[in-house]
Formats: sequence, C-alpha cells, structure tokens
Amino acid sequence: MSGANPGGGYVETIAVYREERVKVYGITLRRGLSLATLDLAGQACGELGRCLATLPIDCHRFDLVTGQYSGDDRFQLQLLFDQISQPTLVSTLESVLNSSGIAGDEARTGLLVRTPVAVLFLHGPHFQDRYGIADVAFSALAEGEIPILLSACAGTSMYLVLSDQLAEAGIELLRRTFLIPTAV
Amino acid sequence: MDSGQKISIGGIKFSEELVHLQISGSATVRLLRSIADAALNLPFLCYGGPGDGDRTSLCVRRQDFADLQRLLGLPAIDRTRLEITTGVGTITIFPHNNSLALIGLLLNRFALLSNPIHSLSTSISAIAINTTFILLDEIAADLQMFLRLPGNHAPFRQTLRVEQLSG
Repeated sequence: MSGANPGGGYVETIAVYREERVKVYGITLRRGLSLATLDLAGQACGELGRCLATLPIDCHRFDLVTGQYSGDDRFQLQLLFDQISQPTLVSTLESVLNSSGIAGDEARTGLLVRTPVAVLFLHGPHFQDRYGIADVAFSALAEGEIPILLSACAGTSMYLVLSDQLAEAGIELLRRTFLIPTAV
Repeated sequence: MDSGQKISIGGIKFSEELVHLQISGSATVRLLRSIADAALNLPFLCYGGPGDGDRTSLCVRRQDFADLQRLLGLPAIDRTRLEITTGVGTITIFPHNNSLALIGLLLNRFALLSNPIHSLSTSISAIAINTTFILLDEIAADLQMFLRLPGNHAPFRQTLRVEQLSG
C-alpha cells in the first residue's frame, strides 16, 4: 500500500496477507430480471441521452448499465432491470428511439430484450486493486459451462448476468469458488 | 435539462492514466487467464457475450501496458480483433441512484462536447466512464453545470494506492 507524502515522494507500507481462496463479502443472486440491449450508431448516443435525460429523475430504476463499442462505430448500451418494469421501460425506450428519429435512421438501431435473466453480484476487499479476480469467476463459470451474458467489474463490484435457468447452478459454483466468511 | 435543475451527487473521482483495450471474438477467458498469470490488475472490465459476438472492454494502468502488449502477442490472441486506446482515464460519478435520466444526461453531455466514451459501467452506486485522460478536468467542469456536488467538495484524484505484489 502506498500513498503520496505531503513532504514529497511516497510513503509505502507492505502488509502480508494470504488466502487459499479469494475472499468476498458475499454473493447476491437476483432473479426475475430483464436485459435490454440497445445497439445504435455511435453518433446517435447524444440524441438518445438527450431524450433519456428528460425522464423524471426517479423513474425507470436500473440494476446495471454498461456501454461499449461493438465495431463499425456501433455502440451497445445494455440495461439490466426488474422484469416487472419491462413493459414500461421498453415502451419508454421505444418511444425515445422513435421520437428522436434514431429508430428510423439508416443505422438500423436495434432493441433486443432477453428475459428472464439473473444477476450474481459480488464484491470483495480491494477488488479494484487486485489482479486475477475476474479470471477466477470467468474460469469457474466457463468450466461449469455456464455462459455469461454480461459482466461488469468496476470499483469493488463484480456483476455476472446469466440466464435465469442457470442462476442456481451459477451461484453454487461461485460459492464453491470464492470464500464467503460466515458467522460462528 | 437546464442548469437550474441540477442533480445532486456525492462526488466525482478521476483515475490515473490508463490504456483501454477492446477485444471481440471468443478469446476473453483465455485473455483474462493470461492477464492474471502476468499479475496485471484490471481497474475496469466490461464483457458482453457469449459466442463469436463476444465484446470485452478493459483497462490497465499505463505502466502495465508493456506487459499487456507482450500478452497480446500470444498466438491465442487474434490481433485483428483488438483495438487499443492509450491516454484513457476514468471519470467516476457517484451515486447514480439507479437513475436512467442521469445516464442520459451523461451520454448527452459527452456527445455535445465531442468527448469520447470508450466504455462505461455502473457499479453498486457509481458510474464509471472511460474517456480521454487529459480531458477529465474539462469534462468534470462541464458536468458541474448540471450536477451539484456537496458544499466544499471538488472532483478528486485518489492518492492512496493499494497494489498486490504477488499471488
């Protein structure tokens, strides 16, 4: 562990810590979710954003949002939300796409909703500063032949979105892979 | 949304300088194993799959880039499906309050100012956006016309760093 020293240079502290299995604070499973994938031209993101920004600040709560380019300047925005919210959220997204003109452009904007899906959420000590954590989770699920539909790791959080049918198998696998402290 | 309707947030954080890598195809699990074996930390990872349409965006620290490049030369990695962007930084805004309107505001402001979004992800309470490192201050200044920080708070850079030395 190191940090800036007000007097200049760096102060450094080394702590030795061993763990046989990667420790997590807990693994949470949420089922009954929907995953919307919005595929649009990169230049349409601003207009999409403008329309979304006009929504009431407290409507359409999401569980997870990710975005990345998918090639040919296509941007893929993925939203995970409660299945109960699906009709209204999808309706809002379609309305936003239509009113902004994004839906009818030559860029063939696509909205795909996959449901039901589940998410496994885990977080652990200093996950943002340690290597190999994602590998442990991805490898375990790959060996268990459980496909990951979406994953996001930022800060100390790790999200793994799976098909709802494989949710129980997925959490059992991760419970065997990671160490979850229990009260004695 | 005009500046009279500012959204209250808790803070804005900047990362150190990073390198952003985007890979498509089905090599993600192999690449993550190689990165772990090389003891490289990933401050950011976003994966969408599965199958040949896999897309992975990840970041490493600038000083880890040389080691990452060695891994990318491995035969198992298809270099034609790689896109590497240097000079990347993450701006983290918290909390997001699970608000789609906030996501929209951010997408819109980045587009209006032609600031790139290489990738983004929410975590339990924050949203992290990977953009150009040298623009972080400018972006935060623009966003503060629409986002209200608590009194006496300013965007900050983390000065304390935790580094895992070995497995």
